[in-house]
Formats: sequence, structure tokens, C-alpha cells
Amino acid sequence: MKKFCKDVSVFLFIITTIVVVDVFLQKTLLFKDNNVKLTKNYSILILGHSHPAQAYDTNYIKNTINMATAGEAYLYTYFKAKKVIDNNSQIKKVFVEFTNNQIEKGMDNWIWDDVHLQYRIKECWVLLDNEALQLLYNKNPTGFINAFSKSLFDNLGRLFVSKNAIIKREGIHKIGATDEISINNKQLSKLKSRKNLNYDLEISDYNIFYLQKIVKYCQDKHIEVCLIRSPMHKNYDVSFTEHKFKEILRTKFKNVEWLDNKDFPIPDKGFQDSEHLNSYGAKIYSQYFNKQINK
Amino acid sequence: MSDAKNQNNKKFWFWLSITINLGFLGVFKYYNFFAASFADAIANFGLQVNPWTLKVILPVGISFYTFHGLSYVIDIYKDRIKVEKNFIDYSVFVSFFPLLVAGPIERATHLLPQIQKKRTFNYVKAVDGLRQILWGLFKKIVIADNCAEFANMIFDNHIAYSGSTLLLGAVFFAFQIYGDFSGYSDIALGTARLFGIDLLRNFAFPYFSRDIAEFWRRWHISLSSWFRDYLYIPLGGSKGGMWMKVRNTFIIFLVSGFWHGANWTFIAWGFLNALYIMPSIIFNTNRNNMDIVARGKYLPSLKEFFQIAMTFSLTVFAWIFFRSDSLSQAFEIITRILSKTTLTIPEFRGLYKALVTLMLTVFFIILEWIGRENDFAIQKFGFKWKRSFRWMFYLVIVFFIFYFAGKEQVFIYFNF
Repeated sequence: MKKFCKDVSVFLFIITTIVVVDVFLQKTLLFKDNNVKLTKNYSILILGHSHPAQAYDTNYIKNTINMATAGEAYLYTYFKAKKVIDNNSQIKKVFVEFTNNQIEKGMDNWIWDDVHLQYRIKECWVLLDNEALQLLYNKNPTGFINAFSKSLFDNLGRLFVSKNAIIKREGIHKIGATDEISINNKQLSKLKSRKNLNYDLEISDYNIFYLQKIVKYCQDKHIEVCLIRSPMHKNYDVSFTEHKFKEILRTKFKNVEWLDNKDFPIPDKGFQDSEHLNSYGAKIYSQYFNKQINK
Repeated sequence: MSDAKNQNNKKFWFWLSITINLGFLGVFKYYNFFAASFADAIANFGLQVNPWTLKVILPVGISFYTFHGLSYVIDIYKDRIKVEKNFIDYSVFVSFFPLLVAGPIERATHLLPQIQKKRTFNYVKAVDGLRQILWGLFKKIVIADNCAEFANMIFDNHIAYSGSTLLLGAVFFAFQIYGDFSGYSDIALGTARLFGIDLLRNFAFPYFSRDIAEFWRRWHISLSSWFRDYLYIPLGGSKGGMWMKVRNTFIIFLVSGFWHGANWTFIAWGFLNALYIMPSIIFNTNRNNMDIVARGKYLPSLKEFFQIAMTFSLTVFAWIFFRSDSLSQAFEIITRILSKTTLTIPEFRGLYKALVTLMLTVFFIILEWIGRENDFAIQKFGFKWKRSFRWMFYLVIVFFIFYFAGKEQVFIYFNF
């Protein structure tokens, strides 16, 4: 029994040591300050989820970096923004996408459901503070442990190659994931039927809380911050959330600049679906946006 | 039953116990099936009935502990064991946690004596148990859960896929169910071994079988042997001539199919396996391959290789029925597999991950082949190496479990 306990302890000690060393290496190397340094010409930062990721083609917007990521809740955006801002004093303005779907309760899933945790923990657990890690653990202990243990191994490769691939991602257009798919009639008819939904709106307090933190952090650092709504298809009905959305904007972000480009005219062939532009739509919109912010 | 004054009394208690045990199983697992089938049959005569159905969740592992309990009752009736009067020992036998939800289906004659005797800690046994748990986790988390992702995607959207993709889906399912169930069994056996208890072996490298009879001696052994001892032999076994042998074989395969679930797909799966095994029953070749394939050799002979490939193909074909939600789905899949589209390259979302999964499966098959003369693949793997190298190998397995973990899936046999 003694020998068995000793052997098991030694084996567990080896595993624990590997894990501790791995955690330490990831903590110290993965987002080392010089890995998040941007070139000096980037003074505008765009953040948010898939809408801005696909709407802003930085080939057409001066001095701008688009770090928006599909499926990213504000909790993760906050920590990412903090890291980038802290290490890039040249950033003078931050645009944060704020659309109707980001106030909905479903956003909680973007923060801590199994699928999102798998991606987000791997990408940026190193950036999260204890409070955020605790929140994720409390909301979904199994999902958190699974995602965390997997990321410890998944990130090993990132320690030595492409350490900064995630944080330096420049919007979806630069990595070539967008395409020329256009919204079709089937999707449009689906949108029309959505109008008739009997919608019982619940709000994601966590998502809004972390958006407030992003705004406050920027303000504390004397960086201009602007909430922005990028174009959506005219058939995409937001009326069932619009009242609440505007109320939140009015009450929780009353001193924050607000830029509403939801109704910017984009032809149907510029939409990939009702909420996302394709590269054609992104080009038209980004040219307009460039003029809008540089006039 | 043991205190019964005469044989009739004993018989009464025996049948009462059997009825109660099977009654629970029948009500929870099969009532809805029979009610729906009855309604369908009646509908053929133009009559409409809306049978009352149970809306309860099937108790986890009910088929396992029912059979577990039945073995105790039957063995007492047959005077193979004495009644266990120690409440603690009996409770441990009935509810021994490693095997409670998905077996192996234990026998009172095998497990009870181990519980009754005083056990002392055995280092070799405990280390062996840990090794088996590790291998079980690898099978489940790396092989089964990864294969499941593709098997589920392909089977759940079978209409969208070509014959070649469906065939690949069936192969993925074959490894999913093997990794899933034998992985669970390994974890259960390993855990029991830590407590000094040897449970019945449930799998013996079934996919290296050279014929279907051998496959059934190596797949879910505790259930196959249960049916052999408590159903096939009491029915007369093979003693009553060819007709009785054929009849009894069909009975146990159909009952075995039905044991898995109240669905015609399981019955078809059982029936198909009975058909597969029939030639060897008729020509008395079912005990041709009793030894481990290519014992002491690195590779099988060409003949053995083709026998293994043929047996595996037949098994994969039968798994299509097992995995399908309905008979019509199974036939749609088979029709497409038998069409020209099987000659095309498989196409589905996540091809890269599927390739990684296939490579992991090949790695798994190689390790299983190397270790096929043992109770489980890595039981004696690296025994001639230095301890540090052997530990390194175990660490690599741990690394694989974390790094290649598939999306979490419930154990398939928890449904049974």
C-alpha cells in the first residue's frame, strides 16, 4: 500500500508539475507585452463580435485595426481591449459594436456555455482576472474545467509559434474567411416570419456590465470610445428589442458617443446574411465609414 | 426460496422473483414499445387506438442490474450458491458501483465469494487497475468521443451524404461503440481491481475476430455468456439436434437485440447477427477460432487478415441497424451505400478533424494489436522498458486524453 501510494503520488506530482510549468509558461509568454504591440500607425481600434468582424475592412479605413471576433462576448472583449490598450499608447479611439442581440439573455451563453468556453478559454484565459475566472467556473464548472484543461495542452504550440495570432487578428477580411455569399430569398422570408415572434425579452446583465467596463476603462485612459451599430439588412426586424436597447443606451451609456449605421444602404448582394456583410458589402461600408470618421 | 418446504414452494418463489425482476424491466423499458406496436397493428385493420403510454425516464442501467439480480435468483434456485444472509455483502453485490450502470453483468457465483472473503491490498492488482482505467479513459475520451462527433453528424443527416460518407460514418460508429463500451468496462474493471475485486472480462479485442462466432465470444462477453448460461442452455442448447440449435441461436440473438432497447432496429441487428452466425452453427465451425489470432507473431497471415476484414465488414454492416433511429433509416443508408455514390470520395464538414480521428484510431488499433494477448492492450506494454520510459508512455497517454479529447458524450450503454 505504501509503495502504491508513493508511486501514485510521484506520478501525480509529475503531472501536476507539468501543468504548473505549462500554466506558468502560458501566463508569462503567451501575451507578453511585446507580443501585443501594434505598429505605430494604428490609432483606431474596432472591437465586437461577428458583425463588426465582417463589416469593417481595414484596407479601406485609415489607421484602423479590426480585432472584432465572431461569437465574442464583452467579458472577453474587455480583457483583450485592456491588454491592447495598455501596450499601445498610440490608440486614440475605440469603436465597440453594440447591436440589439448583445443585450439579449442569450449572450450569457456566449460567456459560459460549453462551446464558447472551449474557444474563449483557449484564446484568452491568460488575460482574465480571478473575478472573471471565478464567474466562469461558478456558472459552468464542468465546461470551465474541460475547456481549461484542454487549453493547457492546446496552447502548448502557441507558446513557441504564433503567440500573438489571436490578439493581432485583424478582422475577418485580412484572414480571408469572408466570401461573396449573398443573402437569398429563403433567408429573407425567414426574417419576415421572425417579425411575428412573440418575444419575451430578457436581458444579459453580465454582457452589459462588461461593456460598461470597456467604456470605463477607455475613459479612464483618456481614449475616445464610441458605441457603434453596423449595417443590418432592412428586413432584419429589431423592433422587438429596440425599445429596451435604446433604454439601455440612454441609461447606462448616456455620456458615450453613439454612431448608428444600422440603416446604411447596402444592396442585398452586399449581405452574407441578415446581420453580416460579405466582402462586397464590407468594402462599400468601410469606404463610407472611413469618410465618416475622418471628416 | 431457500427456506421453501417443498419443490413447488421453491418454484413459486422463484417465478415470483423472476416476474418481479422482469416486470420492472418490462414496464419501464418495453411497455411503450408494445403499446405503440399494438396500436400500429390494430391500425392495419382500420381501428384507431391511442394507448396510454408511460412518460418516465428510463432508469439508468436497468437492463444491467436486472440481469445481475436475475443471475442471483437463478443460481440460488439451481443450488449453485447459498443465500447470502449478510445484508451488507448482499447490498454490495447488488449495488457495487463500478458495474451498476453499464456492467459487466456479474454472476453471483463469481462476485459474491469475492465480496465475502477478506481482501488485502495487492500492489500488482492495484497498479494493473490504474493502467486499465487509463486505457479505458483513452478509449472513451479520445477514440469514442471523437468518432461520435462524425458518426452522429453523418447518421443524423444521412439524407445529405453519399454512400462513401455513410460507410465511413458506419465505421466511425463501429469504433465509437467499441471505444465507448469497452472503455467503460475497462474503467469499471480497473476501479474494481483497486478494491481487490476481479470483475468478469467484457471485451477481448473483438475487432480482431476471424469469424462471427469468435466475435461474439469477444464482444460484451458478460452478456453473451449470461444468455448462454441462463437462456441458451436451459432451452436445450445444442443437445437436441440441428433444429433446436438453430432455433435457440435465433432466440438468444433476438432476445439480445431486444435487451438493448425497445426498437425494431435492435431486433433487426440481433436477427442479422443470428443470420451471420448460422453457417458456422450448421457446419459446426463455430469453434474453429478459439485461440488468439496470430499468437506470438507480429502480423496475421494473409488468410487471417482477410478473415478479420470480412468479419469487421459484416459487423459494421450490422451496426447500421443498431445506430439507426428506425428501420427505414437503416434501409435508406444501406441503399445509398450499395449505390454508385460509394465510389466517390467522402465529403462532410470537418474533414481535417476526421483525418486526425482516423489517425488516432489507427494508432489505437496498432496498440490493441500489440497487446491482444493480454486482458487489455497496455496491460504489459513497456514492461521490458526502464520504469522512466514506461511512465513516459503513460504520460503520453494522459497527454493524448487532454489534447485529443472529443466533445463530451454520454456513454451509449447508459441508455440500456
